[in-house]
Amino acid sequence: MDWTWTQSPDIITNVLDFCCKWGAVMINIDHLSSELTASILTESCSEPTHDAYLSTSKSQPRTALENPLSDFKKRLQALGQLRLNWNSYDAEPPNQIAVGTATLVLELASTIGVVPTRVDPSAENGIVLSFVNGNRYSDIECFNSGDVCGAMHDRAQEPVVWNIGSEPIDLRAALKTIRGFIHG
Amino acid sequence: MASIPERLRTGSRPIDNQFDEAELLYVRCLSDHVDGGRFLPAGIKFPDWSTNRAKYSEPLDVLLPEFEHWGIAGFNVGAIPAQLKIGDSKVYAFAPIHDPTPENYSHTEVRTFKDGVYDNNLKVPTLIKKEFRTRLAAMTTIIKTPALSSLDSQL
Repeated sequence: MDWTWTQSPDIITNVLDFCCKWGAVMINIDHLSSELTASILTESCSEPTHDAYLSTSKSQPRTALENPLSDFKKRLQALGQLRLNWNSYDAEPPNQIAVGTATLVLELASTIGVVPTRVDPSAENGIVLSFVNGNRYSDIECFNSGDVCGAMHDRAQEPVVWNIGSEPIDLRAALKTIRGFIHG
Repeated sequence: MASIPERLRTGSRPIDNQFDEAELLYVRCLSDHVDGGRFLPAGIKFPDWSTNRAKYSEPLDVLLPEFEHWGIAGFNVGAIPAQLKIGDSKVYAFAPIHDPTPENYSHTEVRTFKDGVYDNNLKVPTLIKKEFRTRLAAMTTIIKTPALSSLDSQL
């Protein structure tokens, strides 16, 4: 089963919840704008460990919307090759810890239904995955240190920042929060 | 490589730590940190961020001597969060400090102070950094769109 449609955030949230509850089906969602593309892949809601997830995810079915994720993964690998001081403000290149965590975020994002708008190196040493929809901005920052933080801001209210953690269960929860904020 | 104009050289001029809230501070940026007209928090560095102040420079000066294809972002001094505290953390304060170099009188650092004390090796809690960068990025405007990305700059 493979659908593409434009729908309200509420309907998409309901579909996502249904899929999460019942596991199964494969759905593509082309939602709201070209900036936001969501893909839900077949999976259960169990939370594998970081290593287990990466080792098993390669065998999961893929949709046409896998291409942006594939491009982001290639970009992650390229960003890992940046030189010291790549931004002229003494930034370190993203290391394997940051690249690994960001790769996991991408994998999980594809199952949550919220794909980053962009993937960029951080002036604070690491990788930032940004989610942008009009005035709504959110990101997950994967630092070289292994720390992972989230931020949400809509320019009207106070920003929200929080520590996420690097395990799949933490990242999944953060992605669901971001999905609700960005699509809200 | 462009040469440094005489007007930027410090010479015998004194430090001037009088900043108007409306004074602009300029930084150069890559396309990695610009989304449409929005400057992204990922482009902000801690704990000391080098800028050029508008009182003593032109926006394009931030691209000297060899950053011609980079972009320029700017923010008002008043946009810098005065201080932040998250949970039980210490109070971290932020302020522009005029820090001229021989070839750049306008050079100014946005510095971080813990309990009122400046230490350039200060370790700032990640969440404090995150909130500071998120707030300041939202108040930053793009003055010149970058034509270069981080990957381009490696070539």
